[in-house]
Amino acid sequence: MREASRAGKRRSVYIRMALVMTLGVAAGVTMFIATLRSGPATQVTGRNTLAALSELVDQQGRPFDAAKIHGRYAVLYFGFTFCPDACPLALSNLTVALRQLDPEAEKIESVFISVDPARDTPEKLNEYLAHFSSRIIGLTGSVQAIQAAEQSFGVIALEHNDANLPGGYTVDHSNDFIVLSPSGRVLMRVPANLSADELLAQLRTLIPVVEAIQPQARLHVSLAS
Amino acid sequence: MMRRMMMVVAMAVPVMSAMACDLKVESAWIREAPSNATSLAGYAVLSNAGSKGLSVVSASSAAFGRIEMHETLMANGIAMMRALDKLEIAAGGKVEFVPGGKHFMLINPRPGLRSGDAVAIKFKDSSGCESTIQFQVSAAAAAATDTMDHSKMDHSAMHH
Ligand SMILES: [Cu+2]
Repeated sequence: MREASRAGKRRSVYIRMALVMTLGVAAGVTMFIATLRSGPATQVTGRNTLAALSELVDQQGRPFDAAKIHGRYAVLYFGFTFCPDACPLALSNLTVALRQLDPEAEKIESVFISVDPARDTPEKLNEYLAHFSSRIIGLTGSVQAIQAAEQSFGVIALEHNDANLPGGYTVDHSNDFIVLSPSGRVLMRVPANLSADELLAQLRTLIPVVEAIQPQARLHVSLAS
Repeated sequence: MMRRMMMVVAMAVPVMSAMACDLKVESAWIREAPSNATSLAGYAVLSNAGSKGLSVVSASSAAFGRIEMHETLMANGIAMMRALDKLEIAAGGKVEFVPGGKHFMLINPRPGLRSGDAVAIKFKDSSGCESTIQFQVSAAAAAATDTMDHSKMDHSAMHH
């Protein structure tokens, strides 16, 4: 039943996408559609995905209100502060993309969510994120709350033991930027190890497409800002 | 004259032996991280100027408790950081350590390394040759954007 309605929804998205395509929107759209169709992006939908984030706290230790995201685009990245290579690369790319996107970056809420809540206290997040765009919100919480957030967005995170590492483990984790529409739907996943320019190109292509499909997206944005 | 020449030779010898390693380490930098970070990542371009294959045997520094060679592997969209047991470089070959790929895992750093600092790391290759390379500590956002035009970047907006 749910599958059927989901497939129907997906079909109507395709029809609208096809329309946009025939109107001749930029070439990058092709990649967006390919991602939407083949990637895991279509597995996770709906408004409830954001609810899981309301169980988390930000880098100041304040409870996070996911309603802050609703009505705006969001870029989520799941990582951890003990990660010295993949995560800083992702956050640097995001930082540079947001800087290039200004003032359009106002439309986007960027959120770093820890997959290592045992070590990532709000203080740790705060120190780590000071090295990147001040627009990025950091979230952590209980192990259960983090697992719920991972599941909501189809994120995989697994501890991998390595006795030579501080703390004795690292975390293998999904390494994607998850882009949410103003209505909280997962629009696409962008590999986080691409260059900042590629992330920027994806976001620049995506936002006008969403606004063409959902005129209310623009309304949400103007209400939020 | 003779005596002066001998002095020059005597002085040149230790310098020559330090520079003669076939293992070259260039464009070496370390990503700046919070002062209490328990590990940092270092990057460089390694090459073998010799006519025979070689491997990197060890890297060490007074600034770090331990240095390992690591690689971030991607499988089905999942990033996995793993230690590299060894690194071989063919004669005339080159291996790049770049963000999101191979990196030097700099464990238990001396606290307070900041952007602009230089850190000496000693490398030993399989021929027994040792060389000391200066790694430059760089701020995160600037350093990661190798593909970007740095002149366009607004450095004043970055946190230090
Ligand atoms: Cu590593």
